[in-house]
Amino acid sequence: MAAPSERGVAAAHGTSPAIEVVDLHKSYGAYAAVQGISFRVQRGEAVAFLGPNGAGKTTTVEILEGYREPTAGTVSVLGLSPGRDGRELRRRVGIVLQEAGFPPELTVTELVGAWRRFYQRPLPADEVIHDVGLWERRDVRAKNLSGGEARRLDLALGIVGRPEVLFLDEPTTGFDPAARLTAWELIARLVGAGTTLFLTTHYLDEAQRLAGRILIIAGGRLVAEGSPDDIGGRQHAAGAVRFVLPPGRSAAELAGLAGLPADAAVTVADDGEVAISSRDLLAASHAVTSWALAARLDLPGFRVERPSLQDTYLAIIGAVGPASGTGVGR
Amino acid sequence: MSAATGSSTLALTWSQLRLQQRLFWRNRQAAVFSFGLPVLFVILFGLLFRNNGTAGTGGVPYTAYFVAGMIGVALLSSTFANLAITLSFQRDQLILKRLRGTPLGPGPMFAGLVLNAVTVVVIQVALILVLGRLFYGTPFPRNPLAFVLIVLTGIVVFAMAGIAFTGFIANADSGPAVVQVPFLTLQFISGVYFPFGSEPTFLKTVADVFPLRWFLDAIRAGYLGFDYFHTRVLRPGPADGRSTTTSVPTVVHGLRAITAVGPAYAMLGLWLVIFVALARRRFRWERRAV
Repeated sequence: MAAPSERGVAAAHGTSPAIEVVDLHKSYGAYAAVQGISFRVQRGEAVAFLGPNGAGKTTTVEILEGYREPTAGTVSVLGLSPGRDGRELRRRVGIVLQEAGFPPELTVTELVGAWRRFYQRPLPADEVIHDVGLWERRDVRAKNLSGGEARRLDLALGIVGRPEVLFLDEPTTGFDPAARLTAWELIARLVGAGTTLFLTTHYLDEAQRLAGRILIIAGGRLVAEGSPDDIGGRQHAAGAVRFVLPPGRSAAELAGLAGLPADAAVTVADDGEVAISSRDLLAASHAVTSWALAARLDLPGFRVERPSLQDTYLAIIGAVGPASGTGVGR
Repeated sequence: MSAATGSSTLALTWSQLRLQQRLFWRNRQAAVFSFGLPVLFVILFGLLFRNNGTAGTGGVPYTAYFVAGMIGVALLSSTFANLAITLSFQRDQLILKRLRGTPLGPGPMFAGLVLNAVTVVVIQVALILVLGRLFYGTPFPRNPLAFVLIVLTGIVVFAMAGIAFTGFIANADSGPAVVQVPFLTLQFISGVYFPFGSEPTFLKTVADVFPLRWFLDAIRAGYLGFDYFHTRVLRPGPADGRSTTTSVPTVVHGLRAITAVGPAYAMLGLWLVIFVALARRRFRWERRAV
């Protein structure tokens, strides 16, 4: 369903990808923050950039935004070089930095109004203020906004210029759950309207909700890439059939069940929960349910689980090891 | 409204000027202070110097000499000091970083700041001229064209000085203190409160290097019509019985009030080049990484 509209967007804006990164390196003195990453983001695509602190996320994003020069490698955004064609580029992208300040004495309305005037065809100020959920707070000065409200104002200033590519660096940090949902709806709507999204986040649910593709960076290198559903091969990864052990039954009996796959491993936790883990969850659950139905057993808490995105993510970055050079930050 | 939006350098400069104007007038205390201080100083020092007559000024009433100097102080505070403090604050608060992510661009950003300084300085200068006339009978500028030209030149040069100096302010907290050093020192040695030339030769040489003393020469030529760069040495007659000599400034009119102080413009131009070079080398858009 998305394919025709994506093609339409690409045709309307030319053929160069929204973002292209080839063998990017960035070092700060002896510290190599980014060590040779390459990826491409098509127009209209929504990509999440995940990774632990110090992995090189913000460094990469700020190179794409033109704030930093690569040590080696090339980057292009909308076919432009962020370092050389910064002026043209900044007309066409929206940037929400991980951290940035406001002139403290100006109100929400004044700031959105001032930022609108930097762009050629900005969104109506009222619409933006309303969409980020600051309508009731529109006459409040920036210095009096709460952390979450200030973050929403960041978002407002990032989108007011109707960007073709929107960079969001941890956009919902400090949001309460309701504010996060509101922000997600707004961002999803922009993506639905053809905006390319490059999202840096720590929240896996945020990546899952907003992105069609996830890139995982750790220790300055890309370590995994895929859709939120199958990244790290999670569709086919080993999982477990779980239920509470019925009275009078033993783990040994379960291990001998007819039809269990060869790789099945049975464990019983102290609280009596059984986990039968296997790559072949279909066969494992069939063996369990056949046995339970024949023996007329109720199996409280029966469920089949694949690893969550979080499990997969932690496994991937855990395999890479903790980021080297912690504390260097950006 | 939509006419003001856009991407031309002019439109962006206008957007930045509007933003800076709003910021300036919003901070009412700072606004009152920037206009109140020169007013206070003109009145205060005028009263203190009232009985100085023409000592050391080569026949010009001391109050007139001083009021002309106050234009330099007001201009220096609204350009150099204000920009250095404001920009280091906006840099450390990551406001500049945010602005840099918009289409505004450095050219219109700085141009808007300079134009904002122009609006402030115009009001300050008008206040000083009116006060000087009311309190001390100093006439309005004798050579209006020369006066306007040097005020505008001074705004550009000292605004650039402020932008360049921001690069030497390590963090915004120390900004207001660090700025005082050149701001006050130059005032004292360049002939604002004390007639230029009354200080030891060493200090005079230091003042000769820096731009304020040259700016004040050009201001006096435009405002008072006296060219302190070309002085005539009066030799008192034998009846006087003493061998001292007095330097008297030449009276200048019209374009002569500009050409006569050509060396002042040359020095200001040279410093403008230096400030631009320093700003290019030292100016940072983000606070220093900890």
